[in-house]
Amino acid sequence: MSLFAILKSTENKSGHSFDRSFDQCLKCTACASQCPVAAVRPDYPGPKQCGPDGERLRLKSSEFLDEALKYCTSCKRCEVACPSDVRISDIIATARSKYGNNSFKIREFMLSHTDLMGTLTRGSAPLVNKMTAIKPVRLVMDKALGIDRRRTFPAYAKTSFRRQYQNVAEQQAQFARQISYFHGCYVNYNDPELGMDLIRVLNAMNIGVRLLNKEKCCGVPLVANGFPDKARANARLNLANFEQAMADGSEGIISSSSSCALMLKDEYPHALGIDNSKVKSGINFITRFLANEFAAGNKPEMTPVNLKVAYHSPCHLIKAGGVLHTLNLLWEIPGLELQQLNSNCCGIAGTYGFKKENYETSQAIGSPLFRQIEESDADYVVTDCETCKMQVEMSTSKQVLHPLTLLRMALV
Amino acid sequence: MRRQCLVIGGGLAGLVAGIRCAEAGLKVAVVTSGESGLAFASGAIDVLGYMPSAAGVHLNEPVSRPFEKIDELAEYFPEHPYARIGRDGVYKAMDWFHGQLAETGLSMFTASDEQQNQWRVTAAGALRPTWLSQSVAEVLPWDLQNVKRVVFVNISGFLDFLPELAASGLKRHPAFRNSQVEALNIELPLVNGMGATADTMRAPQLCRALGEKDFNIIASTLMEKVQDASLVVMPACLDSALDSLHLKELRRRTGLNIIDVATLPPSLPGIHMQQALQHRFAALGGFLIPATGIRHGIIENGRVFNVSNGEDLLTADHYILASGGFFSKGLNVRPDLNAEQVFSEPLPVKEPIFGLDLNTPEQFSERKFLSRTGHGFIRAGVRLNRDHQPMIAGQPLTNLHVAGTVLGGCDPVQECSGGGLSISTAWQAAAKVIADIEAAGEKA
Ligand SMILES: Cc1cc2nc3c(=O)[nH]c(=O)nc-3n(C[C@H](O)[C@H](O)[C@H](O)COP(=O)(O)OP(=O)(O)OC[C@H]3O[C@@H](n4cnc5c(N)ncnc54)[C@H](O)[C@@H]3O)c2cc1C
Ligand code: SF4
Ligand code: SF4
Repeated sequence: MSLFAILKSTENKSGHSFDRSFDQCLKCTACASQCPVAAVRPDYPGPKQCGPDGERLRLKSSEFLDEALKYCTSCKRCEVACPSDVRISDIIATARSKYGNNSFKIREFMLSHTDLMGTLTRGSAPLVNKMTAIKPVRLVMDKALGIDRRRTFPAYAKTSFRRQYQNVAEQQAQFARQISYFHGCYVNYNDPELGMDLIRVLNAMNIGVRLLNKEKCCGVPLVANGFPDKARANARLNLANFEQAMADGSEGIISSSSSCALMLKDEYPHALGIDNSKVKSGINFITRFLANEFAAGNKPEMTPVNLKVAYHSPCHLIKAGGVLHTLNLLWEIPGLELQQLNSNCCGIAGTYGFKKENYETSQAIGSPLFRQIEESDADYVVTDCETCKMQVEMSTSKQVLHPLTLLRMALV
Repeated sequence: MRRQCLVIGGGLAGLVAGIRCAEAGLKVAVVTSGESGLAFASGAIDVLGYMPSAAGVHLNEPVSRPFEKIDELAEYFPEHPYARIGRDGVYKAMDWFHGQLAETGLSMFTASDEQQNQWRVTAAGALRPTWLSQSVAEVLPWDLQNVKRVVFVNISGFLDFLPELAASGLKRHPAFRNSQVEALNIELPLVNGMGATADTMRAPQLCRALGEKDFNIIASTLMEKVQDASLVVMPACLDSALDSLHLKELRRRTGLNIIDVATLPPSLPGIHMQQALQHRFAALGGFLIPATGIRHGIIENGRVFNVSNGEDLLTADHYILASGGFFSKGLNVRPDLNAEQVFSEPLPVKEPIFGLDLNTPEQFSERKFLSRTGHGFIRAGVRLNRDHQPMIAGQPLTNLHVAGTVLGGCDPVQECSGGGLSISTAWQAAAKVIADIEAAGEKA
């Protein structure tokens, strides 16, 4: 952000951070050329109109709130294109929760409280997995909740990651170097195996992995679904735990989810108005941490994987400038033939694509990506984001791996 | 892993440099911070439309054979990038580029004599000499004789194309004094518009909104109302993807000479070219690293050792700087100057990454030809020495090469040469990298 923008961002009465970056808009329309929603929905006026232009009007009267704002996926591709650092996607998200209809919606609550849903299903995972796979149940979810019945749900794991970690905790403490892992909801409840891959890789580099004393959902789904206060409470708890971890001798905090990492490191201050400056420099998405370790000479021993993979870069990783690190890492894996897929959004956008009214839009956005994946002769698709993985696996015939999993496969 | 070549900037110049390196089998990545000129461009590629202003040269005389004019240009402006590349080099680069685009499925056309310029029509109704055009070859005869009727056709309500403005623009051209030039608006149901109206849409949305029924109405209206038109000009909103053929189909159905021209941005033809180049680069094994702005370079012994985005280091054997002009922040107004100094300083401009030596507009005035009608800022840019190397305080850098609008010594807007300059300078920079790497390999 420019100094100008910092000076101009003020606090409004309710203590919400109040973004004035729309004032910096040059009206160049660079943002409009990159919006995946506008490309498939003629009734979506696009980032310039919904963001800086609309904000000017909304400040006059909330009657100017355009219903179409709900179609924005918060992919932030518009912000990447903007030459003037306008926080277009944040302006849209804030306007939705500030001026929109905020009556309690059970669906939004269910989809966004990922940690709560995970806790509730604990012990009943096989049952829940079966239930969400049954047609009549899906029909009820579709009709009663507006969760599209064509969606496949992420399966819940039998044993959470935190519990599995207990088996290796002692061994982790043996390493001289220690790093704390923000596993997030997805690894904890849906994919503990990915967390275990992370441990194996870091251990092979002589680094032990700790868990935080406590962590809560990073807040991405909460912000997207209109629960900013809950997101703020989570942010405070997480940051307190990060500070504690650093004080206890941890080198830093790593995340294996590109969206969690963007939120924790870059978005807490301006999307939620919460200061993370004490720990910010210690927070890293895993591929940046690993790429820097590799560059400094701490590389695990690897054997050729002899695979051909197609890499899809998630929107939020692009926004964070993280594609550089993931590529740096993938370039180091021996025997890997790597194809970079064209930069297209997959369409899921976290919880967005689960909603019935967004299903068609979501799949239309993703279709160029799906087509390219089907046409490629890659053995696997690789991507850094868990919801991209769900979307691509549901919409194509290929299996999707996290870069960490690929690295673990290369370990000797 | 270390790249053999790292290109800074992913606009036309950066992508062309990347493609040429990848084609030669180099490990290459392009890092780029934001949007490039391509999202705004017409999608046509100009080589040289007008000779730069200099005594004795008529500014308004369009250049008909651009490559042949390059020798003359070189004589007057030895610092001009085209002078360094030479006539044969520029032609080779452009011909190669044309071939690369063909590989992506984006067809571009030269005039029937490929040494010859052709006209492109702008959305404001102006005519510009261009070399490669996206929709059709030679939409108007070069002599502009016998063009009886031109109709600018819009979809009613669409605001990013103004047919009345375009018509009055073209009407002002002397060659059209006796022609019929008019505007026509066609009312459409926009069957795939999801209920939205054209006035809320930009070109990509309008394109999505058009369905079978809309195309039928366009075709029948054109046949009914403008069957005798020599040329029909529509906004570029008909084809959404590289392999879409709606314009072609409309031409076939109506038998009319229809072209589409870039609207106010976002420009679909520009976006298509960007996609085509990005796809080609990836297909050749190149990597594109988005949202990564390079802040500074670390120089050791006359070489760029690595570059930094402010947080991390990126390392390569060779670097190509293709960071664009003022809009793309490849060049900046010096931040240390106040408003008054900006206008009084001979060199108020800076190349922000390396602080490379620049050409100043003043240096032009010392040359043979004193008149300077082009905007000084536009001519300012990175200066190269005799060996085509950029310099810092007179000291050359041996593994940094410079391409595109960030280079000085020319005025692409006035000359109608933007595309050709970006492409040929990038082609040459990449050729230098390839040759250096080959030479180093032989030595080793
Ligand atoms: C409105 C418009 C219309 C045009 N129409 C035509 C036409 O009809 N015919 C024609 O031939 N040409 C046309 N051109 C010109 C043609 O497109 C140019 O050749 C092109 O815009 C310049 O290309 P470039 O790659 O040098 O720079 P740019 O397109 O400016 O690209 C530079 C890129 O570098 C990136 N960058 C800058 N600094 C950094 C950094 N520090 N780190 C990383 N990345 C960085 C920028 O984000 C940008 O993506 C037009 C240009 C414009 C703007
Ligand atoms: S965040 Fe994404 S969907 Fe929303 S306006 Fe920006 S580009 Fe469009
Ligand atoms: S890209 Fe940024 S400056 Fe340009 S119109 Fe969009 S918000 Fe405004």
